[in-house]
Amino acid sequence: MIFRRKREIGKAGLGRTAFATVISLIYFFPVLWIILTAFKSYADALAIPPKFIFEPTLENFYSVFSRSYSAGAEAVDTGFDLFFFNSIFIAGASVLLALIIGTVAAYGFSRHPLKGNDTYMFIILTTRMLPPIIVIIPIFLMFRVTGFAGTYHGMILLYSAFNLPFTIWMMKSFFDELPREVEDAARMDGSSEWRIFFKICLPQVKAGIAATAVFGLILTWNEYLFSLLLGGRDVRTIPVAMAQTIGGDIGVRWGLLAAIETLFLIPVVLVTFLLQNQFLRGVTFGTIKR
Amino acid sequence: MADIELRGLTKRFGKMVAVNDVDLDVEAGEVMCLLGPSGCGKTTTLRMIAGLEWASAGDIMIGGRRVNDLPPKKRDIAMVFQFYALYPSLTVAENLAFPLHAEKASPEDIKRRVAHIAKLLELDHALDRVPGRLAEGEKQRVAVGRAIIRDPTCFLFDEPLSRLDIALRQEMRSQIKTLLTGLKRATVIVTHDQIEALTIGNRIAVMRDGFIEQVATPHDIFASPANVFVAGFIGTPQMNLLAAARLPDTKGRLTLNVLEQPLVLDIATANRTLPPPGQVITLGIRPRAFEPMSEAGADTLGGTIDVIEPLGAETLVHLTAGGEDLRVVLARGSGLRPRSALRLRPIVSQVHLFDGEGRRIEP
Repeated sequence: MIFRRKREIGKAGLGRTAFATVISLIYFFPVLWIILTAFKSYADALAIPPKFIFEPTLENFYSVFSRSYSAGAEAVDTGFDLFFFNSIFIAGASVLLALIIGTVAAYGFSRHPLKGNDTYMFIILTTRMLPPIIVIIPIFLMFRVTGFAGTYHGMILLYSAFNLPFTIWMMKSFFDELPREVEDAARMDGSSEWRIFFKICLPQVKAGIAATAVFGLILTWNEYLFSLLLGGRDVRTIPVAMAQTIGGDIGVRWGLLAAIETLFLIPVVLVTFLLQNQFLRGVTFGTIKR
Repeated sequence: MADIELRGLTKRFGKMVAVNDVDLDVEAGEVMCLLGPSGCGKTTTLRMIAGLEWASAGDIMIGGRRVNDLPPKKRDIAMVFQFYALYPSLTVAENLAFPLHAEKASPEDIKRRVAHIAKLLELDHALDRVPGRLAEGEKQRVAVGRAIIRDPTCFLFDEPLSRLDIALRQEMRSQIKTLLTGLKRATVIVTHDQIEALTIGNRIAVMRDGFIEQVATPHDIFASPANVFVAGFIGTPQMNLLAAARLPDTKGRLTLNVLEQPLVLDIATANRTLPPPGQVITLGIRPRAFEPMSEAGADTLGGTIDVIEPLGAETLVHLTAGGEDLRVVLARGSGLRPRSALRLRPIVSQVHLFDGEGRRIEP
């Protein structure tokens, strides 16, 4: 009898699928644990052995925004609504600014190369070669002198500057992949260079913009060091505020921390989810020749 | 005055000369095919006419105006690109309308002209689709439509049919020919496909290594190639180009030593500018310009059959004669056997002669 495969070539069998699922669960477990802990009471969160079945409570989520700092004292506003706004506003604005400047710059580098174009591209990359902590002192001094410390525009400019090299490199590679013939056609059809950029090139790199935006957002969203040192009191972002929540008079409140982390995850998950189709096309862009 | 005039057009990329001192006139209503092997400079010439490359030297005149320093949009030309170059994010209707926006045409005017082109090129059903969802032939038609929706002085086509499969290519070839005949504009078509050039072009310019080798009508370029390169490039199967030493004449007739055999051609040598006896010339005979002969004669060549390739109506026979390969197409090939001898007589009226430098010797 002729041997016949039971499944289509290229499709994983049950065994492999199960194996992949187990590996994924191992990776996902910490996140799952945080989400579970967020819904646990103080006692449940500390229980040994750990509880998987428990009575869920929203208490931790209320405490994120308003709680009493010592036993019996009146509950006060924690300021976390402001910190969430800070994180969203600063990450959003700085990524947007970096995208606007970086996309135009990348198009310039790709389509109208300067003499020594590669050298410029290399210099742009070198700004990201050092660990950020190396440049913290000069930047700290610059922020002191200019009064940018503890301001929105200061933090937005700072993060934009951090995102720019990455944005330029990513976007340049996307523009490099576009067929020049289409631009030539637009040129023949009477378009100005700006019209070619906006009408022809930009729509073709949508996926690339999405991918770059997601990377930039995650990077900025999670940034801790500069926010801690330069953010000051009022433009604190969540990672800093979260770290400052550890401690307290009755020990670490794991449930509260987990609740902050859960809330902290939502925007990233949301953005990635909304952009995922574009994003996936973006990260695999140019890997298949037409 | 021609609508497109090229005078001494030259393009250098560093030390490499891609286009070398090209002179070419394309009259209004004329279709000029630039034909040549890849890398011969034909596409660079087209791109210079379009304004997508700067000319290193020479003049480009369009409609009597020197356009060397003008950007593409001010040259009054439309171009169809090899890979169609449709705008991927725009629908077919938007693609067709794109050149009209630059002309600042009114919305009603745009609507009317898009509808007209869509009808002409049978694209009505596809107007709302994006290029990614079109068949190859439809993409090709959109590319053509986007060029002809304007009314420019001249049209440029860069390898317009190279991406289509054979059946579609034949269909589009006649469609484009009909279309161009109706448009009556100076048109330059770049192609490496000689069938395309021979069928579509009113005249053909054969290019090699940046030079134009010959400009002539499809008939003339086939019937009287200017040199050995054109002779070998045009025509399938390729013309036999045989080195031939001139021997003393036989009764005033041209006598050659070719394929290590003497051959008398019925060509009077008097009043002709032929190299003197002893010199080597090139004898060009197309594979279809032979007659099979049953008997040996002074005007025949003999060879041994190597390979027989039936082509349907005809048979292509490869012979070995004097250590060289000879291609012959015969009307009937049923009696042929490999390794048997065959005698052939070149049809003198279809024989081409080239001098030691490969230039045609006019009869």
